[in-house]
Amino acid sequence: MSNTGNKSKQSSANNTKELQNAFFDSFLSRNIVLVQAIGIAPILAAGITLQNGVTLTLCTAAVLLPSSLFMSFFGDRLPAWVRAPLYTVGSTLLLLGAALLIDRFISQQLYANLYIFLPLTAVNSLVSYRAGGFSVSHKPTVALVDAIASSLGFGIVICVVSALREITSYGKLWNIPLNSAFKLPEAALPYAAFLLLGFMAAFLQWIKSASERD
Amino acid sequence: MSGDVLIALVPLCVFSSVYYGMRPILLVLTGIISAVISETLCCLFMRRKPSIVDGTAAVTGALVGALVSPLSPYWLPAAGAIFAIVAVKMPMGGSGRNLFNPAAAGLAAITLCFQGFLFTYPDPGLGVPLPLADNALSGIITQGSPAAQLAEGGQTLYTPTILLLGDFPGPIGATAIAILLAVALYLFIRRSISAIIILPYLATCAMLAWAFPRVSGGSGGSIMVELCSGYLLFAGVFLLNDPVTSPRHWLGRVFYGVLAGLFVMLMRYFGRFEEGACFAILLVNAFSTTLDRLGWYLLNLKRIRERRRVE
Repeated sequence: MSNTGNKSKQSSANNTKELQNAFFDSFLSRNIVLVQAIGIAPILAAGITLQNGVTLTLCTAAVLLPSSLFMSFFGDRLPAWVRAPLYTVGSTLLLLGAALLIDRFISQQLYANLYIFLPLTAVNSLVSYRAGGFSVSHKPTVALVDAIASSLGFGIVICVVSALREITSYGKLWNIPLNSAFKLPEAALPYAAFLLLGFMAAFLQWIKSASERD
Repeated sequence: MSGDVLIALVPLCVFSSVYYGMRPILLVLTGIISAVISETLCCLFMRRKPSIVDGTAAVTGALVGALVSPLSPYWLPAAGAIFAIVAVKMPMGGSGRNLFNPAAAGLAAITLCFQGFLFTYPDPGLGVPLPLADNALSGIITQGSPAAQLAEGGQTLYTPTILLLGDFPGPIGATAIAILLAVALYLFIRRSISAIIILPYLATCAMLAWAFPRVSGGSGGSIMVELCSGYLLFAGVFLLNDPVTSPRHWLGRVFYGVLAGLFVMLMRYFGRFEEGACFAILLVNAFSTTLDRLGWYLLNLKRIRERRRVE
């Protein structure tokens, strides 16, 4: 990865460039899911309807942003063995709040649909990798931008996958029935998501190579 | 190579058409045509020279077509063949570079999605050819295949003679056991298939069938029914011997056959479907390179140890 450097004082001209790089690195050119293959499990299992996808994206952002910020402020002052339990407990607490909000105020049905995958977001490899690895060695602004980009990169993939799977398997989008005659209930099985992810990863590489060629 | 396989499929299709009329041949042709067309389109999209001349696409389509039920609609082999080419073969780089057997993958996809069509077989004792149009198929007398009977357990209705003659319901190309054995001999003489894959494969299946029979009455009968039902033998002859996805080293090939037999029988004992050989082939394809290296390592163990001692 290009951004393994330590927190060094840089001029403000470099600053925006660094932020841009951090953003596009995690969001597009080294997309967190499609290139680094992190956080695939919830997409395979729970990314069946668009509502699930958006909820998981928001929950990931709600967990990742604060824990990334916290780790970039205090991470390097803590010994390495304290960090992992700390951000795990922290993200679990944050997620408990998010789950409570969903259950009480948004929809109990949605909470039931997500089943085990909502609590598992707290220990998703995405959180531990970005908050525990990247943020510790970077400035808070860079860490925040990276957390936003990671959440968005994860979000765009899970939303596309879950929307496609909802359309093909249930003939609905955001629970609104589309009048399509073609239905394939097996698209909700994990292998369909694996295939979709594979093709999306190949598509991303194709775009990258095409843009480099020009 | 692929010409031999296509020639070998001809007598199997002819045998099926004796029982069911022209419909099985049309199903296989549908598979071939859709595979060839989708490979041409993929080559155009990837801006490559069309690679259909080597015949591998036609073989893939024919194998998918030969493993569907004679009663299935025409879009079923087409869907399998298109999935095999577009999702499995061409994204990996086309002929000679595919990691998984495209025909097995196409069949796995249609098994998962449309098992109702795939495992509904017509009664071979009908006496009249099946209607050619898709919408005239309702009301045909169907019969449970030996594989379905095995999955349910209990006494089997099929004697070894009936099984050898192929007078039982099953996929288009996989019921004629005697013809299948003759075809295997032809392919073996033409060096298109390798005996050190298929013999360990059949031996493993037979041993498991002998040790854990699913039918009442004798382990010999169990071996016979297990080996002849479904498309176990067909998969061993045509899908397992794919030169691209099987190991090169001879000891690796032995391991490959044994592992394939183990997976096929496990799929039968514990799987969701009456026949899961295509999933077993896909699983064992993933081990192909590892088995190649394992075979080489085991044979050169002495030399490797000596070199280590010197160092």
